[in-house]
Amino acid sequence: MYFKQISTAVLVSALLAGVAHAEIANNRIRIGVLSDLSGIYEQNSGNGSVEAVKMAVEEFGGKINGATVEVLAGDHQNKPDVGASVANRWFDVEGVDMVTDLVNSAVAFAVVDVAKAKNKTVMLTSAGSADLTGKACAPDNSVHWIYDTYQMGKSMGLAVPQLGKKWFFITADYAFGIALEGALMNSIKPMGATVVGSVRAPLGTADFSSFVLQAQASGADVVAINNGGDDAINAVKAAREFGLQAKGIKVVALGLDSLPAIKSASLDVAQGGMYVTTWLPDMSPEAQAFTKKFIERRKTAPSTFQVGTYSAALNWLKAVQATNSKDPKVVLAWMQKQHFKDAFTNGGTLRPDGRMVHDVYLVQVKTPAESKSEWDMLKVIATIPGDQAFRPMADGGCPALKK
Amino acid sequence: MNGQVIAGQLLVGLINGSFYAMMSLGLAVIFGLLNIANIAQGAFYMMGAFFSWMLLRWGGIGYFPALVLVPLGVGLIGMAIERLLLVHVYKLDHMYGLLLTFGILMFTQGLFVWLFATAGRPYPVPPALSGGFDLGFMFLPKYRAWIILTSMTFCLATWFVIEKTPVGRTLRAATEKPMLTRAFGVNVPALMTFGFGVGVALAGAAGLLAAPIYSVSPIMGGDLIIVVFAIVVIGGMGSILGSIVTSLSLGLLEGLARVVYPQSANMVVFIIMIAVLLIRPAGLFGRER
Repeated sequence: MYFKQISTAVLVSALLAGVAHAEIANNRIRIGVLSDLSGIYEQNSGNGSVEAVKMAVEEFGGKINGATVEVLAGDHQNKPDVGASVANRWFDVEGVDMVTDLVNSAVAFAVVDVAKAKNKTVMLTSAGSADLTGKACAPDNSVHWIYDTYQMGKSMGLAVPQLGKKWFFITADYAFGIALEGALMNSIKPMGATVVGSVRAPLGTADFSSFVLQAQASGADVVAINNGGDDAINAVKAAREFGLQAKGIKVVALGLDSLPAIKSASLDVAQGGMYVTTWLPDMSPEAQAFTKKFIERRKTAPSTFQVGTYSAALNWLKAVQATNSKDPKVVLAWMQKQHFKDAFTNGGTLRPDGRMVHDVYLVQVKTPAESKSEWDMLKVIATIPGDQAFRPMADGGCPALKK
Repeated sequence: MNGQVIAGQLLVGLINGSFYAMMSLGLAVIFGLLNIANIAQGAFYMMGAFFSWMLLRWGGIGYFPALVLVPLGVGLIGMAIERLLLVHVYKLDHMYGLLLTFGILMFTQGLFVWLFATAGRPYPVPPALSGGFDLGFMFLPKYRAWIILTSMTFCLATWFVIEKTPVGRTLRAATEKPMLTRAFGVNVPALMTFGFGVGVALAGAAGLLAAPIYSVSPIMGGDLIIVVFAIVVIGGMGSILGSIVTSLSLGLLEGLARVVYPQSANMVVFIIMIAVLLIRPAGLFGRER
């Protein structure tokens, strides 16, 4: 009897030890930051996102439950096929467990498909299409952290009374711009606004003057610029140059959502522009501390995407630590029970369709006179609670949830 | 569609055409004199924009002095590159020059991405040129009017020097019959270097003109060069007058395309290029060799 008890104990502890080792495979956790490292989105995501993820890893001392955490960076060049092939290699050969950032929705769709097939986790941060938690959702493998096109449009719709009734759209001619335009249209029309015209501008357009002229000739009160990255800056610049604001036309640039972008356009150019953001550098002590640390390391304030990418990586690592697992289902199930509180969000929650829901802010760029310091650029016009801003889960039509 | 919109777009087309003219003129000069299709022209354009930004940011030197300093600086770098690299491919097939300059473009672009990252940097419109004129059908920013004026000045000056002065005559002689020109005691290699310097200086000047409108970024030249190349092909490789006329008319045509069907604006130049290559392979203003 006595002997049997001992042997059982030995057996159980051996098994347990075996389990503990087996849980975090290879004693290594790898995060791949797949972003645009050399093109128009580099400034908003890119190397800054890579740095932000490293900062999240450092908060754990580079180790979780004895496993080393490593960060890889990859350039998808805004090409879905390149993105998918990097993801394939990362998952198959390099043992990457989670991929994040994925600016450019077209690339994001491709990589989510790969992750679904290989049962890995994708923390979508810089990608924007609301379809990522809608008809293209992958609730067992992917989380959409920062924003989406539905939420941007919806929040702007709530601002119609302040902005005006006649809208003109300058839209980037690819998945993100078109999704954003659709969302905006759906949300401003019920508020009594009409669309008096729209143009589709190719990605990477350097000169927006002809589009701005068309907007002006349309007699619109509001010109909504539905693009991102350098395109957004160039469009706002052209609008200012051709005197749109001077004629009382409101310029809404949804993709301007980034302090470095405003800085590079300069306050002179961007002042008065309105947009919706999910993050403010002074919204919490955590946000202030992160911003300060980021400026020390990168000589620039973080963009919203970079802070959000930090937050997504941080909370995924917390989930891995708590569950001692890298299995997407286990990790995401744990995350759905949390209230996230960090530099990016005060109490955000994760829905079963993969949408992280948190408050968003309607902001206006300050005038040079209002700005008190280098990165003091925004004033909040309204705070919109997350459950009003994001699409209700039932309306998303995520096929995987119906089963 | 109304007259206002068309007039506005045509004016914007004219501005774009002026840019194309400066870029394609540089290419035409270099091709005419050195027989090299200089893809690196895009890199010199980007360098021009960056030098202007550096002068302002680090040296406090403003736009108007830069108008002299930037083409000079870019021209000197171009001449150094010509002496060190291009000189070795003159005797070879066109393809080698094309590949070499393509490599130079890639290298320079990569170097600047490494040094400055891809984020656009702001370059303010000089105070003397900010503001604009209300033309009724559109608001014409002063700076855009300035671009048309400056680029036309640069283009006409270049055309005049090459076609109407003794220096230009010698340059053309050196191109047509290098050995014979040498026999007259002219230093032909030095002339070629000078010609290349002038060609890339034009791209540098275009970069300066572009800086206040676009963000200054390492990748700004790569896309432009493709369109400009198409224009040079349409105009006829090496034809100076051809490249100026083609640039302006294609700028206008692009403007029209934006009114009719905006998505086609990026293609229209290439469609015309294909048509011209089929009907008149030497280009509209080119001579069969």
